[in-house]
Amino acid sequence: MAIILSIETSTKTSSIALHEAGQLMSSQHIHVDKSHSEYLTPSIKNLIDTSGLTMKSIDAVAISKGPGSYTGLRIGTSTAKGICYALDARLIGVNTLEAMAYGMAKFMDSETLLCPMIDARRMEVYCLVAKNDLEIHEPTQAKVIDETSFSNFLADHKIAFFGNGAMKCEEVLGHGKNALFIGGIDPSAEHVGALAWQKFSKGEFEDTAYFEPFYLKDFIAKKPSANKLVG
Amino acid sequence: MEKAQACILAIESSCDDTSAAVMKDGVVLSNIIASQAIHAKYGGIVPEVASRMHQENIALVVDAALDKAGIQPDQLDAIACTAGPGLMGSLTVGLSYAKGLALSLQIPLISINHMRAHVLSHFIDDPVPVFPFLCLTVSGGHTQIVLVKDEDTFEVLGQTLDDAVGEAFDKSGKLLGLPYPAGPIIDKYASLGDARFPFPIPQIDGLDFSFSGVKTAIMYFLRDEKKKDPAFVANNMNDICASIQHTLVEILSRKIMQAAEEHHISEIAVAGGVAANSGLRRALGVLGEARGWNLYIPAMQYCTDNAGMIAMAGYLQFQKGRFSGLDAKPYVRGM
Ligand SMILES: Nc1ncnc2c1ncn2[C@@H]1O[C@H](COP(=O)(O)OP(=O)(O)OP(=O)(O)O)[C@@H](O)[C@H]1O
Repeated sequence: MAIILSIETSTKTSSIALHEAGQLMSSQHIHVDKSHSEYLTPSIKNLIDTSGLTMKSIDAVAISKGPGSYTGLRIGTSTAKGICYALDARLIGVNTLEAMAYGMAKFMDSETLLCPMIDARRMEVYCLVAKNDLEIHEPTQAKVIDETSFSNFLADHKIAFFGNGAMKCEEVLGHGKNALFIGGIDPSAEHVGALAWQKFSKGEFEDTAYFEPFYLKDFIAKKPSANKLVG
Repeated sequence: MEKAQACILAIESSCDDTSAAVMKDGVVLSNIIASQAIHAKYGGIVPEVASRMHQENIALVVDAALDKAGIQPDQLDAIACTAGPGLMGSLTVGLSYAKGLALSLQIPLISINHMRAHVLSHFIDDPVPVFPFLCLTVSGGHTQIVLVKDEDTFEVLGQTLDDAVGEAFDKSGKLLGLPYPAGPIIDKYASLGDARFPFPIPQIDGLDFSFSGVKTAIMYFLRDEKKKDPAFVANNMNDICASIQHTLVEILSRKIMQAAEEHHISEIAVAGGVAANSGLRRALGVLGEARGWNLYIPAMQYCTDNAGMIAMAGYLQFQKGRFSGLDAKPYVRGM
C-alpha cells in the first residue's frame, strides 16, 4: 500500500508524518523557531526508522506548499524535491490552508465556516474561507484585516478563525457573536498527508523538477536607486 | 596520496549561481552552472529573487550534471554541498536539497566552506601548487589573501575592510552606466584604452584591502569631468575603464607582493571570479616573472562560483572519512 511522507514547514512548526493508504502511521512536530534547517532531515530519518520503514518504502512525498514563511517553504520544498529525485518518488503539493481547514472541520458543526489564518506582517494574514465539507468560499489570499473584513459572512454565518494569524484579529473582528477564535492551532503534516492521499488516489502529482512553493506574493524588488552624486 | 575511489555529487548555491558537479576518483566529469541573469535588471543581487531562482533551477541542474557524467544517483558515494558563507536563502535551497539526496540514497553528506573550496579549486587540474602557498581569492563577495599550509589549514592573512574587489568593479561600472555585473565589461573596454586618469591607491596597514575610497574618488572624478563635458564618459569610456582596472589591479598586486615577501613564499595562486580579469593576469604574470613565482590560475569554469571546486573539497574530505551530520546548518560568514 502506498506510503506517503508529508512535510509541513510553512510556519515555525516543523511537522512530518507518514501515512499508509491514507491512514496515519506516525508523526512528529517540533515547535521551535528556526529549527527547520537543522532538524527537518534528521527528524525524517528518525521517523522512518522508528516506523520500521526505509526511505525506499516511500512512494510519494507530500509538501505543504504554502502560503507561509518563505524560509520554511524553501527548506521543506528543497528537501522534498531532493528526496523525490533520489527515490524516483512522486511529489504532491497540498495547500497549507486547505490542510488546516481539513484538520479543523471535524471539530466544528457543519454550518460553521472555516477560516484558517497564517500570520503575515502587521494586520495581514494569509487565509481562505471554506465550508465544513471543504468547499472553498473565498480562495487563498493575503488580506489586511480591518473591522469590515468578513462582514458579508459574519452577518449570517458563524466563522471559526484559527491558526497563528487568528489571535491578532480577535480584537478587530471579535465583536459580533458569530466570530469564533481558536488559539494554539498549528498546521500539521497529518492533515497534509490526509489530503495528499486523496490526490495520490486521483493521480494528481506535481512536476518534481519545476515545482515551486505557493509564495502567494510575487516578489517585487525595489527599483534600483539612481546613482546620486553629492555636491 | 593514494587516490580513493569515490563518486561525488557536489552542489553550490551560495549566491546567484546554481551549480552541480560530478567528480569520480578526483576527476571532474561534469560541472553545470546556471547563472541568474535576472539580477542585471535590478543592478545587483536581490536575495529573495536569488533564492526563488535556485528553487527553480536546482533539480534541473543536478539532473544535468548526473546526466552529463553518465552517473546514476545510486552510483554516488557522497553528496558535497556548500554550507557557507553566502546568502542564507540561497544556501538553504542547495543544502536542503543535498540533505534530501543524502538521506534518501543513504550516503554521507559533506558540508563545504565556499571560500576554502575556492582555494582548493587549484587541485582540480595540474599543475597544483605546493604547500605552503598563498592564495589571492578575489570575487564579487570576497577579497582575501590566504596562507594555505595544507589541505585543512588556512590562515586569512588579510581581507577587505569594505567592498570586495569584484564589487568595486561592479559599482564603478554602475557609475559609468554599465549593466551588472560590470567587471567583465570594464575588462573589455580597458583593453582598448590607456590608464591615463590617476586614482589614489589607499594606504592600508598589513595585508588588508580597502576599495570604497577608490569608488568615491571615481565618483567625484566623474562628477567634475561631466560638469566640464557632459559627454565625458561616452567619449573616454575605454580610458576610464583602463584607469579603474589599473588602480584595482595595482591594489591587489601590491598586497600579494607584500605577502609573498613577508612569508617568503613563491607559490602564488589566484582564485575567484575576478581571476578572469586580463589586467590582473598580466600584472601578476609580470610580477611573477620578475620574482620567480610559480603562479597558478585555475581554468575559468573553476574561478567563478562552481560546484566543481565543491566536489574537489568534498573529495579531499571523503578521503579522510570526514562527513557532516544531516543537521548541518547554513552560515552567512566564516572561513
Ligand atoms: N574579467 C573580469 N574583470 C573584472 N571582474 C570580473 C571579471 N569577470 C568577472 N568579474 C567579477 O567577478 C565577480 C563574480 O565572481 P564570482 O562568481 O566568483 O563571485 P560571487 O558569486 O560574487 O562570489 P563569492 O560568493 O565567491 O564571493 C563579479 O563581481 C564580476 O564583476
